[in-house]
Amino acid sequence: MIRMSNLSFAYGEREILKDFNLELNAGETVMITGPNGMGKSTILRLLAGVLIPQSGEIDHGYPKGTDPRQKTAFLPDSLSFYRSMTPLEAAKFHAGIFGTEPSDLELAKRAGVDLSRHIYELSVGQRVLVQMAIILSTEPELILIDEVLHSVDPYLRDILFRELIQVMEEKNPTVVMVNLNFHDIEHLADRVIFLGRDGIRLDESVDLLKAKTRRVVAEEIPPEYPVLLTENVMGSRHHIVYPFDKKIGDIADENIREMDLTEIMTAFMGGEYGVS
Amino acid sequence: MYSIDSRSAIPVYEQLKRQIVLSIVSGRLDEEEKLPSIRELAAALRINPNTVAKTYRQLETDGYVSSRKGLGVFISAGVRELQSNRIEIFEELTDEYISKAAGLGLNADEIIKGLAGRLKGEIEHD
Repeated sequence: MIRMSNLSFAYGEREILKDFNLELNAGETVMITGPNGMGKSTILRLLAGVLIPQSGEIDHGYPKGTDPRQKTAFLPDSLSFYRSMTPLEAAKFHAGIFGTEPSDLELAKRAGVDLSRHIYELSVGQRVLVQMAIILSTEPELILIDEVLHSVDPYLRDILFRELIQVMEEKNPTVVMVNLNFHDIEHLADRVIFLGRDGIRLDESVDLLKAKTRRVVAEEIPPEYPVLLTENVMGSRHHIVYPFDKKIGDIADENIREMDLTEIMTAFMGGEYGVS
Repeated sequence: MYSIDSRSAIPVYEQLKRQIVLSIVSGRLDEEEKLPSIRELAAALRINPNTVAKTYRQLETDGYVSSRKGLGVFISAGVRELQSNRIEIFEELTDEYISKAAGLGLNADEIIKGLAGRLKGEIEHD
């Protein structure tokens, strides 16, 4: 279990997190989402130990004296990582810092990366795979992936997710990903956290969230329904209802529809922007 | 192969379980046949390996499969003949059919008539 307690963090005058609390269970896969500028990436950087909070603390649950950074694989959103090195040099350098064996870069080879080139010469997708190969080689207990995966093409994406799933199956690490788009990765998540203006707006298991959210198509709906967002879709009115408990009033079953995670999160996002 | 409906509110482990049970009961999967490894299936469907593990555990509890240490998970012998399994699957298929037909705006009489007509047609064709 990882505990973030009463964390506050600001970049200069700009306060990003205030009295922030979050617990992560060992072995779970958590997706963090929400509008830009709410502190999603900051949370990852704090967990990774590359930022230090101004107040509050993070307990990774390791024995005293353990440096959490040694047990963490962090894929940041910037691709500045070891730019001027070759993948081989970067693997050695990284292993030197953490006192581990250098990555065999197998994942990068599978992605067709020429290991003698500088990292800045590689495509964005290839850079992500080199980085992933290096950070996963340290047998992490915590894997943090910031929102870089959307720039990886589908072929490399498949290689990358196969590798991640293999590591998840073998070592059962805790995984935290920051995502804006859930297409094709929503079934990796156990739990989703929506970070809004006032902190955590939603923190729920994916199964429960999907069970409790419905798109209701109707001109008017009974006021008992808690509506997250109402939108016009091709001439009909769609009301996103959360939490949906049971049918109220006279609405045909086919007008009460289940939703995927991207649709649900888009509705939360719209609610956050005050669109209605 | 199995597929997950992202828009369904039925949890992924449950969707997967129903599809595997259907494959077993319908004979698409043979008795004693080995199921894919957790890693293989999780990677192919891009789902959390813990989800596949949960599906396999439930299938084992329900007696459809048994895991052999170090070898994998296998379809249990004799499970296909269990009448209760067939009835359960048949009931699920019927529920699905009814809800889809109702979604088209048909009432109970129309659904029964339509079904009876089709069945008669099939019998005559045979």
